[in-house]
Amino acid sequence: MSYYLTESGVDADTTTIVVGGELDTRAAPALREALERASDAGVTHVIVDLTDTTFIDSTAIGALLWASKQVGEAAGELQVVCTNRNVLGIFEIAGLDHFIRVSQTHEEALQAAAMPAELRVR
Amino acid sequence: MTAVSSREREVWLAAEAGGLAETRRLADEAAASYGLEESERFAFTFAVNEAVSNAIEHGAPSPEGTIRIRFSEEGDKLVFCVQDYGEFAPRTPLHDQRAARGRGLAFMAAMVDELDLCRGAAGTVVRLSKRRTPSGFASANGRRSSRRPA
Repeated sequence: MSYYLTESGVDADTTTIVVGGELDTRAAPALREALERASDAGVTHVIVDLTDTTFIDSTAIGALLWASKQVGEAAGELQVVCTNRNVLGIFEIAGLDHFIRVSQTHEEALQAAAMPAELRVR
Repeated sequence: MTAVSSREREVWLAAEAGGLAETRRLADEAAASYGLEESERFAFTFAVNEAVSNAIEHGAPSPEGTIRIRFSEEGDKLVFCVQDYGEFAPRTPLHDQRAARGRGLAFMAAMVDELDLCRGAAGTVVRLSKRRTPSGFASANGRRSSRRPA
């Protein structure tokens, strides 16, 4: 398997999904299912940590955008953690950074999640 | 796998998602051999992955359950072709910019210099090509230098 995925609850309102490796069409269903579980659970903050992700394709991008919309419609926020410049380049082309906050570290994402919604600046 | 020449490589790939990792490895090798710098290697590999993913998901394999992929250097271009035996079915979202599907073709076009799609009774061929960035000019991911796909 060329990817891994783990889910963990940070607190009652925050879930972190860590995904590493190469996110192609084999990985996208697992990512989508994890995002659906978080959305269905009514978690307010979903952090998708892509620190160790080295490749992402359009299906994974689509899953992130879908989840961002679902969580947002429930008054929550989905964030992404990523520092891989190639993956960030894909985000820019996809316009994903217009819809989803991208942080450099998980800690930075947690700090943003802890801020009142009206004070969060993307 | 068939090495047609030192500058060409043709592979009959099993039409399943399990072959994508190998496809990306071959794409990266071809791009490195051709002399693309890192961000352009990634862009090329990304486009190849999208094209092959689409062929696997929406195309039809040969009677042997394969699709054909080919890397070649043609003049000043690194060229990739994927051929399946079905009908290309791009799914472009009509109104929802955050739709979960249908952006692969747009991604491919953004990552390469030329993109051609040829649909016929026998199947579909997707051909994409990328040129080296002239020395002295930094290349951002997705910057394209020539015509848009038809």
